[in-house]
Amino acid sequence: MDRRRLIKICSVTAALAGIRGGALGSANAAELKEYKRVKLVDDKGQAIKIKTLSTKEAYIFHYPYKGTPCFLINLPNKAVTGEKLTADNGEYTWEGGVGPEGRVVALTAICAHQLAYPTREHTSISYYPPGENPDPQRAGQIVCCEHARVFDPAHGGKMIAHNKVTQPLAAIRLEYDPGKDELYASGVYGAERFDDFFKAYKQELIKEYGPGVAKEEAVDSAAVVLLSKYSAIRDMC
Amino acid sequence: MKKEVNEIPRRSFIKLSGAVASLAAGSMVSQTAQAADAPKNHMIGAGVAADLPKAKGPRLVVVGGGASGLTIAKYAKKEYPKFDVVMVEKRDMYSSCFLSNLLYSNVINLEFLADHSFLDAAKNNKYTFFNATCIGLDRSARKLYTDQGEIAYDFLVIAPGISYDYSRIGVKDAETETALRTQYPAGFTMPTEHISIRKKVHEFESGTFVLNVPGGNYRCLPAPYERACMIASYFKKNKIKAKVLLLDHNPEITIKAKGFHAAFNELYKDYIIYKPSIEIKGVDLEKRLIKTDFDSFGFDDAAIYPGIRASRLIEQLGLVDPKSLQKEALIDTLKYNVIGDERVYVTGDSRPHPYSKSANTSNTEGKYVAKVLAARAQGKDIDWYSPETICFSLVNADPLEGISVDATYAYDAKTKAFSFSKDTKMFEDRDQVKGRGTLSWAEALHRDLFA
Repeated sequence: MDRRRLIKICSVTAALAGIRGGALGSANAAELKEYKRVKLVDDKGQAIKIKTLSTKEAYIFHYPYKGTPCFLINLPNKAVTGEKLTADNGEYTWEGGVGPEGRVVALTAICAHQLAYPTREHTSISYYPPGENPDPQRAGQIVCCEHARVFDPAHGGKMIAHNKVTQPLAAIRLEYDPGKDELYASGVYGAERFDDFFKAYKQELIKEYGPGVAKEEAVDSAAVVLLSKYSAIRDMC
Repeated sequence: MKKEVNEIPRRSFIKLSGAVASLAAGSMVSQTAQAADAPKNHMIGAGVAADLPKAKGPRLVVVGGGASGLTIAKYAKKEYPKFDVVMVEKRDMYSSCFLSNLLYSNVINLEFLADHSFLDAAKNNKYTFFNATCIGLDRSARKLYTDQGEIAYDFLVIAPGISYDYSRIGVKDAETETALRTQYPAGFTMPTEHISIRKKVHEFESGTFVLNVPGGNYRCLPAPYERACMIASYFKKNKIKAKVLLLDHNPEITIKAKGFHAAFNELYKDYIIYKPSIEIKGVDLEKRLIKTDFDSFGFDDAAIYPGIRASRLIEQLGLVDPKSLQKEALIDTLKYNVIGDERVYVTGDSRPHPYSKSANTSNTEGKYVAKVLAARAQGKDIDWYSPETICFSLVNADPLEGISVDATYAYDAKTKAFSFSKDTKMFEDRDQVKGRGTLSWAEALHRDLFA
């Protein structure tokens, strides 16, 4: 793991712990929430290598629960760092991308608006890579066609407004180990809506994963697959 | 049941309304026993507290379990958890009006619209569902009267939807109006209308099936055009020798005109006849003729959409703007409270705004109103922001193909008028993405209202 980064995370966490333990007693629910640290792996269980990640398409992995999908995106350019974001449950700071060029980001693939998510059959929420879009203005954005929500992965999943009000997509904290070229997911920032998601899709999740499985925390590793291989039909709008 | 009814004292029995007669006999007896001791002119349910737990915080009562009321009940509680929210809804079973046109082409079944429980919505979102009909309001005492008793409120939201106004199509006698409601229902309020229309379509053998588009700000601007497409699609697929005659009060298709014209011309050339600028001035039921000032149109069957107005409840509760052509509520158009009363709000399709009267408008507006209520309960206020009208219309049932609009509204503080914002976009090239989008749009809305 990047030592400097680890120190930074630790100090942020320590500062937060200090606030939480102090007289204020009002933890900001949007700040980083730690979950189990899992390695991102391919379909053979081998660690995902950043240099092999395509910039032409998003990937899907499930984190922090076995049934909660996330986008893993290798952006064409470095993501911003230290973006201040506001979710319904408070303000938080997004740390930015990881990897040698700071281009790799992860965001929940559950729409922050009305919970659309990629299924095996179909997805109405997708990443629109530069160059291959019905609408060139959407290059580099995550778009949910259900209610025209547009999010910017280079800015921590912030909603691109167009006069609409929706909080950012919750972001997944990634850690990168440059020595081994390995990626890990270890927490969630922003307004995670996992409880709403589990409630809204209970029947679908039982059908796909079996009773209770979707809500189990991911442990050790999470498999990363191309969105095009994950969802049979990807709607672009 | 008959025996028990006969036991009710005659004097009290006379006070019972027709609606109450359909209540269970047991509750009739107990209500009547109390009503006998109550002051003169009391209505059923008045003088009796509703059978609800004591409020554990400021009580917010929401009348109406449609897209507006369900959104406000859920999100007001989320925004301000101290609210004790009670949803008062007269139906005991939910069914969506949005997407109901898709029943006629068999794209969806009734379960798609109705497999959503008021009880689950209340349980999931920590409010109380109270199955009762609103029958009166005392704003000075902050009491809502229902047929199941009185409810004291701190804040009240009234979201009762629309009523039909048959005078707008030249029908002014109750006999014709009742016959039209029964024989040629409009299909824009009660689920039972949707079922009747589906039966009409699926049993139609040949001839002319008339649909119409009313004037004014009617509920769901694209719906009559979508309906024409869905019925024509059914006729086409099943090789029914029939025409859909669509009579439009307006000079042009009111929204997504390019997309609907393309569908009419390219998919249903032999099935849809579209006639703009046809103002209906009456219906001859015996001869099955739609009358205008200049012409008449025969039909074999029909679903006739009269003009609409705000729900009659708005008028009955004394909240109508006397200047409103559609008898909509007199409210602060930015904050939704009744003028001079920050305890009572009117939302959804009874609002006076020129917004499209659609579920998505009510849903997004409801989230804003929930924030207004939460702020005001804490002595604060928030700035206005626009609702959204994101609306898909299916134009082809096989394969599924749709068109859509993504609209927001702008407010001009000088003229106090609302208009479409510059961000508004139409997506009028039909495709399967928007076909699937039509279904997932509705599923998302159902999730938002009930989960």
